[in-house]
This record gives sequence, C-alpha cells and structure tokens, in this order.
Amino acid sequence: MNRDLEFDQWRKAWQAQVEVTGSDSGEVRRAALRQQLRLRAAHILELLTGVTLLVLSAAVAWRVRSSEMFLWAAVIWVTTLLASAFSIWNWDILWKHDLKSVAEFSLVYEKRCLAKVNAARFGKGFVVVQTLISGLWLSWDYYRSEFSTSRFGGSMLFLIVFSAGFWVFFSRYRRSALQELRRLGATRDAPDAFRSL
Amino acid sequence: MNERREHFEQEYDRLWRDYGPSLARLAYSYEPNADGREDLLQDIRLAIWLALPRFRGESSLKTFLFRIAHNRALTHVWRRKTTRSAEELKEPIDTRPGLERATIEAINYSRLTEAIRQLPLPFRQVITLSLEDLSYAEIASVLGISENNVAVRINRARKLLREKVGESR
Repeated sequence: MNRDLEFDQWRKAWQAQVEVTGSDSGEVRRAALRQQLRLRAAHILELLTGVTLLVLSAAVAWRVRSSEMFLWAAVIWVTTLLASAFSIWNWDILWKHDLKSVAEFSLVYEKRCLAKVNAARFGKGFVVVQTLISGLWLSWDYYRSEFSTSRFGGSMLFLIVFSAGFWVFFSRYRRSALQELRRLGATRDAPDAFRSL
Repeated sequence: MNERREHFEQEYDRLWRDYGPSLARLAYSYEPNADGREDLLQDIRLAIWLALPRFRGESSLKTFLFRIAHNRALTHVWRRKTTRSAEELKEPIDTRPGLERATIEAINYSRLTEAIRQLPLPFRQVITLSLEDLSYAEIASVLGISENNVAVRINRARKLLREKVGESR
C-alpha cells in the first residue's frame, strides 16, 4: 500500500475517535476551580504547619532561655524554612513548567526527583543525628539522676517511636522518588524503542 | 473584572471545543484505563486553565496546548502508583455510533489504537502528534527536539506501527 495513503487511513481512523467527557463547560470550570482551591488549601496547610513550628519553638526557647534550647530552636527554624522552601519549589515545578517543551520539562522533573532523593537522604541523616543527640542527652540526664526511671523510659520510647515514624516517612518518600526517576528514564531514553527495530 | 472573566471563560470554552477531542485522544494514548484517563484529562483541563493567562502568543496555540497536555500526561505516567496488568486494562471494542464504520472496517480502529499504545513512548508521541496534523516544526517545538529528529522518529514509528498492526491481524 502507498505509504501516504496508509498514513491517511490511520489518521482518519485516529481522528474518528472523539471522546470528550465533561462536555458541560460550567462543570469543567467548577471542577478546575475546586482543584485549584484544593491546591491552595494544601499550600496554606503547609504554611500554617511551618509557622506553628516556628512560633512554638521560639516561644519555648524564650521561656526556658538556656543555650541548649536556643540551639534546638535554631535547628527547628533552619529545617522548617528549608522544608518550606523545598515544598514551594516542588509545587512550582509541578505546575509552572508546563509551558516548556517535553524535553525541557523532563529535565526539570528529573532535577526535582533527584532533589527529593537528596532531601530524603538528608532527612534520614538528620533523624539519625537528632536521635543520637537526644538519646545521649536523655541518658546523661538519667545518669546524673535528674530523671526517674519511668520518665526516662517514657522519653526514650517517645524518641524511638517519633524517630522511627520519620525514618519510615523518609524511606517511602525516597522510594517513590526513585520509582519516578526510573519511570522517567524509561520513557525518556526508551532504549527498547531502538532495540526493537 | 466580570467582563474579563467572561471573556476568559469564553476563550477557554472555545479552546476546549476545538481541541478537546485531540487532547482526549492524547490522554487515550497515555492511559488505557478509563478512570485513570478521566483523572488525566481533569489534570490537563486544570493545567490549561491555569496556564492560559500566561499565553503570550510566542508559539501557536496548538503547540502551547499540546506541550501542556504532554507534560501533564508524562507526570501522570511517572507518578502512577501501580502498574496494571494488560488483562486488567483491556477494554471492550468501541461501538459508538459516531465512528466512521467504513474506515473502521478497512483498518480496524481498535487494532490501530492498540498498536499505537504498544509503541515506546518517544515514538507514540511523534506518531500521535503527526496523526493530529501537527507539522514537523510544531512537533519539534512540542517535544523540544530538532525537526530532523522528528523525521527520523516518525519514520521508525511508522515502520514499527505497520508491524504491530500487521501482527494483530
């Protein structure tokens, strides 16, 4: 068969498929607005969580006024600000780079996934360091008999559960970012595409 | 303010009327599952809604829309949580009355779409854009590759598609 004729037939068959759901434009518009509102709500929630952490840590440090507490508050401030900046950058990539070409968008998305993997790695390292410091601190206080055994046990249990929760969160986060990276590599490079010819 | 909003909404409606079927077909090429496809289309609608005010006419409207739709579709594929089995994704043959029976009988529409879906993504992208009547320059602009590259990919994609359509006969 003539190649152009063949392609014209494919084109005709392809374009004969007219499947548009949600043809009521008002409904589409409302759905788009609802989704936009959900995105904004998620942003606001993240922002509020960040502000709460900042205010609470500052208030505790102000009240206790010890060098350890100021150090602790400083660490909370730095990590919260870093996490918020990362979150904004993350959303920004998802919704503001749509206008780029597919190749450019893929590169930006890959950068985003790598940043997520690095953030998860940093988070896990941070959890380990934080747990070690807090554990040693608690143990030292217990050793100096500043804690009762039950209070020490409760604090250690809380620390372990809290750290384990964060460890699991960062592990999942990293795994999902790595999966995205793998899928991205498979669709962009598509070595199979050329091998199968 | 209201007038501007009304104008924007009219523009959006017109755009969806003109390009909705093409964008739905694009979603069809990325997502075989009906529910997943509806989610993807919803994402594309939202992305276009958000991006439309930023359209400055630096590229054609068609290129602008297809860029957004492809980027959304890729995000959908990359973020998909599970890989569904081929059996699960099978859908009944389309028997909607709007389809042109003669064309379907000649080359079997279902076979064509199935074969397109089996193409590796870079080939699927060029072939579907070409089937939507985009020129090589427009395809190059959407995908961010050179026109030569588009030509090479289309040739290979056509060859592969011919084999796949033949296999399913």
